[in-house]
Parts: sequence; C-alpha cells; structure tokens
Amino acid sequence: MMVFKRKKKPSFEGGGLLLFEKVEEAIRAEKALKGENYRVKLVAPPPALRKGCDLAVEINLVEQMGIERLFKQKDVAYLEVVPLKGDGELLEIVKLTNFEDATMVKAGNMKVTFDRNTGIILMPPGEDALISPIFMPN
Amino acid sequence: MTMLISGTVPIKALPLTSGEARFEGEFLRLNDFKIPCSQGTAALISAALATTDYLKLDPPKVLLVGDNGEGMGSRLIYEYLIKNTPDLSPDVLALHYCLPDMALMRRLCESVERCSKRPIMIADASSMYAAKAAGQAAKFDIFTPDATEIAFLADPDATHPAYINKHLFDTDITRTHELVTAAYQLKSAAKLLLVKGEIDYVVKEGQIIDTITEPNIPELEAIGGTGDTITGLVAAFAYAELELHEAAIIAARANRMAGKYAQATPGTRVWQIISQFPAIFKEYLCEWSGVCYVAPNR
Repeated sequence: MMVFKRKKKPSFEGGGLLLFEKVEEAIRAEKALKGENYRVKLVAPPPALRKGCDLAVEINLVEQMGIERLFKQKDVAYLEVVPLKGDGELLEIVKLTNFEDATMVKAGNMKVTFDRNTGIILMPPGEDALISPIFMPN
Repeated sequence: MTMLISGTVPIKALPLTSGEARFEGEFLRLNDFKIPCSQGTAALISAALATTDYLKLDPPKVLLVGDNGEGMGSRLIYEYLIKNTPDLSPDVLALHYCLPDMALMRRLCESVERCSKRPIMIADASSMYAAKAAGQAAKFDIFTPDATEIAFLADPDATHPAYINKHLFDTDITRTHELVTAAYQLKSAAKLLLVKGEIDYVVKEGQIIDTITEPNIPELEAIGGTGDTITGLVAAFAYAELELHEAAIIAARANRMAGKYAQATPGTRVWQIISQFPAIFKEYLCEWSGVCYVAPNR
C-alpha cells in the first residue's frame, strides 16, 4: 500500500500582537512582513488588548525588534506590540548591586554598571540591548 | 579540525567578514579590521583564541558582521551559514549575537544536518533565544544561559527574556534546579547547560552534575563580557576534544580564576580578564583536566 506523507508544516508560535489604528495599516504591515519571510498572521485581537482597529498581526515576540526596525525602514505605521501569553507585561524588575565605588543595575537580562562618584558608565549595555524591548529607543 | 564562531558586533560599517582573528589586547583583529574587545562576540572569540593559542590548536574560523540591531547583518550571517555550513562541516559551531529570526534559525539547523559529520552545536545570547523560540533547542549540544536566561528557557510562554513570567524571574539562585527541570521538560534546553551566575551549574540531560562556586568574584558580573568569555572557553575546550561537561566545568573555573588573577573591579575591562587565561591554564589546566602535555600544532 502506498503511503503518502505530507510534509509537516512548522507550527506558528505567535506570542505577540501588533496593534494598528486602521485596518489598512494592519494589511500593509502583514504584507511587508511576509515579504521579508516573517511568519505572521492576521488575527482579531482579544477585547482586553484591543486598541485602534479590529485587526492585528500576530508575531513571535523574539522577532519584535527586527520587525519594528523593518517597519521603521519601510515607514509602516503601528500602535504598539503587546504580548499574548505569559505575564503580559514587559519585565520591569530592576535589581541593584553595590560595589565599593560602583553600582550595577540589572533589568531582565540587561546590565549597566556606573561609577557612583563620577557617574561614568563603566559597563554599557551589551549587544543584547540591541534586541531588547527594555532598551527600545522609543 | 575546525571551529567556526559566528556573530554580530555593534559596528554597522563592518561587512560580512570571515577569516582567522587575532587577540591583540584591547582589540580583536580580523583581516584589516580592529574590533574593540569590550564585550559580546568579540570577547567570546578572544577567550576562545587565548585557549586555542595555549593548546596549540588551529585558531577558530570567525564569521562576523556589523549589526546595530537593524537585522541586515544578522540575516547575512544566517544566509551565509545556511549556504556554507555543509561544505565547511566544522567540528564545533558556536552561534552568538544575531537578531533572532526563527525561520532562518530553522533553516540553519536543517543545513547543519547536511554536514558530513554533525558539529558540536553551541549557542549563547540571542542565538540561544532564537533556538528556543524556533523549537530547535534540543538540537544543540551546549547552551550557556545566565540566571535570567534559564528562567526564560523554563517559561513555556516566553519568546523573549524581556517577557518572562515574573514568578520565574523574581527568583534566587537556589531555584535553578527547578528551572532547569522545567526547561528540559519543555525541550527548551540543549543537551548540556552551563548556567552562569553566583553559582555556576553544569547540567547534563536535566541532571545537575557539578556546581562551581570558587573563587567567588562578584565583581565579574559587573564587567561586560565575562559571561561571553565563558562561552568562548567552553567552545574552545570542546574543540580540544574534552568531554563537554569537562569543558564546561573547566571554563567556569578558569573564568573565575582569571577574575581573581586580574584583581577584578567593576572598572576592569574584559580583555584584562582574557589576558590572564594563559597563566591560569599554565597553573591549573593539568590539575583540572588531566591534560598536562600540549603537543605542538596538532
């Protein structure tokens, strides 16, 4: 008996929603993202998260920074990104560690160390900051 | 034997560049480029170079590109690796900073499966995030998360360390065992984990097999790049064909000892830590690994 095997399509993980003011912005955003091979889908946002229009684009949050930078390059408008799962909020737990003359500030996986006497930053955030919503430019 | 280390550096003007790098103290030299050895991938590579130099191994092949977070450089790295990894067939492939792209990470893992011999796969930082988010973590041999990142791996819903469940994040180091167990249950962990922190945990297939606590140098955490150096050391010791758990244990010990030798303060630079490695190896590597003779240029 011949068995036909269907190639399994990787499942879509999602995890984040891009919200838009207008429906046409959501459609334009989806097109821009699919054009760059991002795996996204148009969805209706849950009422609790809804802002602007009734259409949102579901994304994976790990790709948030790349997506937002793509939007900036392509001048795609959006309102904000919200997480669908988990705590639902950006981690804002800040921990301070004091050394003799310096303080280290940790927020999530980001760290900055500065000299308390001079205010000079001894350790700026590393490359992680470039992909962290905690350090988003806006 | 070849080891390939790839990642981005925050210098937008650096084109996709491959070659053999050289550790020159404050800088890493790659072809005609001088890259500050301040933290991140440059620190990882420099630590690996200090190790391969000492062990008289061929230096790692390095693939670097500038990316200030816009993602173009990261995509070039992914595309290069997807295309060339089967031909390069490195013995060790270490992936570091790269803007996470799950589709490209999946394609890279498929490409690795076409290698004539499967490389030892190591991921840290954002490559580790991408591997977890893309469901590819179990294909990796070593992850080197810190305390926050192990909480991220243990969180079924988190696809970025910035969105970890507070319950998991607001934790102390004694809960590492619980987080490690959760990460393995979720298939979000590599075969071996080196969890970097106040206590370093070496975890094999879900079991904590060793902890490293001495010397205790809290200042190391305040110095950028001292987690990256551990990953570079692990990669180099794996390349030197130590058992992976041994590579992890020795890497953690060497990094701590280098902090002690450098009399680390929060103002110390990571290259000053890396500069201590040859002296550490000379003093301790035989005792720690049983490798007491280094053959000239294998």
